[in-house]
Amino acid sequence: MEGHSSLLPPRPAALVRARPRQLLGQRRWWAPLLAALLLCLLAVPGIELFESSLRPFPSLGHYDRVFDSAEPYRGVIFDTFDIAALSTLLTAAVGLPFAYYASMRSGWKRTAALLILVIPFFTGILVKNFAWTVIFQDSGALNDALGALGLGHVDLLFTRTAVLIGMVHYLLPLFVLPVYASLVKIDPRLKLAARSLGAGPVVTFWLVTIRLARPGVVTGTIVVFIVSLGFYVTPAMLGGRGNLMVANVIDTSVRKLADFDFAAALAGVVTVIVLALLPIALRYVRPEASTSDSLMGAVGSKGGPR
Amino acid sequence: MVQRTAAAVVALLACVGALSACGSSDKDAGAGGSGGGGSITVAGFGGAYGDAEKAAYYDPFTKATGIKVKILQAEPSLGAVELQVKRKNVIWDIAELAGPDQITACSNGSLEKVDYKQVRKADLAAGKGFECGIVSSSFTEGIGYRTDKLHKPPTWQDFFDTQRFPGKRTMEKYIQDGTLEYALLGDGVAKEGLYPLDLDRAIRKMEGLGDDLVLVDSLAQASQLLSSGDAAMIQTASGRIIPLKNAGLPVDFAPIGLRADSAFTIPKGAKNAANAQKFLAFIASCASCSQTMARLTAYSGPNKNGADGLSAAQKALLPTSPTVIAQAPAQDNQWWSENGAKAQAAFDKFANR
Repeated sequence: MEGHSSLLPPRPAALVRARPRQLLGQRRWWAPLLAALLLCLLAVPGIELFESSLRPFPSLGHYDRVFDSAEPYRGVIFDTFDIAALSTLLTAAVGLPFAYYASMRSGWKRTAALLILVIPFFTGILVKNFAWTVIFQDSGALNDALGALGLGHVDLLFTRTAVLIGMVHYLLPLFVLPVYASLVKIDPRLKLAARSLGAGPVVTFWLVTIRLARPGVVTGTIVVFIVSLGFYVTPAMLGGRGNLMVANVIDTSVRKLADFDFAAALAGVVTVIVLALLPIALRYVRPEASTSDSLMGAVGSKGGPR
Repeated sequence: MVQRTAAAVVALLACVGALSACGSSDKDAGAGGSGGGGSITVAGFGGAYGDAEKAAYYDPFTKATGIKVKILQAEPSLGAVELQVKRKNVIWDIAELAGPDQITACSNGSLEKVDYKQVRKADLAAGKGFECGIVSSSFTEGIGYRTDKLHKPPTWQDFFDTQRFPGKRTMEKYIQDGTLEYALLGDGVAKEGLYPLDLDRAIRKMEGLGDDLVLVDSLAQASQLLSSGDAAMIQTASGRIIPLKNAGLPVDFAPIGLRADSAFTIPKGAKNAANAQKFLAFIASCASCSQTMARLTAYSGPNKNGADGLSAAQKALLPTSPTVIAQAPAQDNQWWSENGAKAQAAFDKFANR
């Protein structure tokens, strides 16, 4: 088992599929291709970006400006992480029950649930945000409905709540799909086994279902968090004031001011923070995977001893 | 493991090689491609305005010279031009830039100079020819307002007076469109004394509007809020309000904002720079082109006879009309080119509170 611990694919997939060894054997030939792709698309531009942020080389002037308390950028970075964390939390809160529901249904109900989830994903983000503007505005659909029900009036447009709703709506499929994929892969016999050993439905859900789905949940959470850090259109259109995210400032720096080096420093700070957070998140994948290993081992998986 | 490291090193070298090869091949193409006939690639602002540009400038140019115009659905910007020039990978032969941006790009050395041996200065209306660009259109910003809430055209002081005229106001986050200027006008600064802008004073004035001030990212969004009645007044351009008014909505436009320019420019190293110069010379000399532009958009083009043949009502809307000139201050492109970054930082600080 130790020998495989450095390999990348999520374990449960390898466990449920019966042929982990064959898969690993085939990996070799495309490994250099993957390395080339990563280097060309990530490492080279990444290094260039970092070099640019230190110009006139070498100087920390742009970073000084990012962290200068007289400038707005420190607050913007804080807000960016704040908004991203909140929208990730909300996406998980909505997405987890949704994914569970879809995974427990079959036939047309499952198809319908997944379609409802995915169809808005193919609508342009500008269109979606414009639609939210029309829904949220003072004389919009939402306030009309609230008024008709005698529930008063909400001032939603150009608030952080509006930004969060817009973001969660966009992010939901990115969370639900990996979680759903994890959930449907769970061998139903494990749940039956838990029930037959005396666990109630809640305990079974908590100790078996959620634990086995955890790689999907962690993957979904990381993807959603990282995507939400880069949000641009939604805070710009639904946020009004006080909801500037770092992507908006980078956009202004690049497109309107052509200040590439400062934009690179902003991007650099966010990248460094994310890289620092990532290992903490990934730690949650690994121990759980080994728990499911031993769980599968105890049940006697078709994969056999490794 | 050793194999994999070796593969990675080979891949890295291949990658760097490929990237640099890309750069140099483009440079060669740039040197050889400026010969005869052919085409130019244009990046304009698109939308309904882009359609007007096609009818007013591109189609007549192709008809007159046989040079085809490829219109890219790309948003030209100072950053995009600077990046193309810096990377020696210039895709656009003509890029349309805002007035201040073309001055910035010009002084950075990122634009070709206009060849005034081909472009006849005598063809141009006053102020339409820059060192590195020819005006594509001059337009007037102003206040779009609800006629059911305001019974006469508002002033900028009215715009900032929510006691007398309650309701939300929208202003643009894109401050080059005049957001700060309008705050100063609203605070009683004379239109002749706007520049250099007093940034602190402008921001104090905007703060005074409190929650009634909404900062929008697009003029389409501002129009939406005006149409629905959520906003009483919006900072906008004439081209956004006239269609709503024609559709029967109780809205109108007061042309009291900045008179501003957009310009066609040639990024340095453009592959078809010679043809692009011909394009600039053509639109400068073509009176009917500027007239078409004025008819379609109420914006004025570069030609000095661009208002000929228009009705009195059409003429009154143009930024060249005496009534508009009397009310609307001209944007100081030079000030913006030199102080844009400072103004943006001050505004960002306000916008993020």
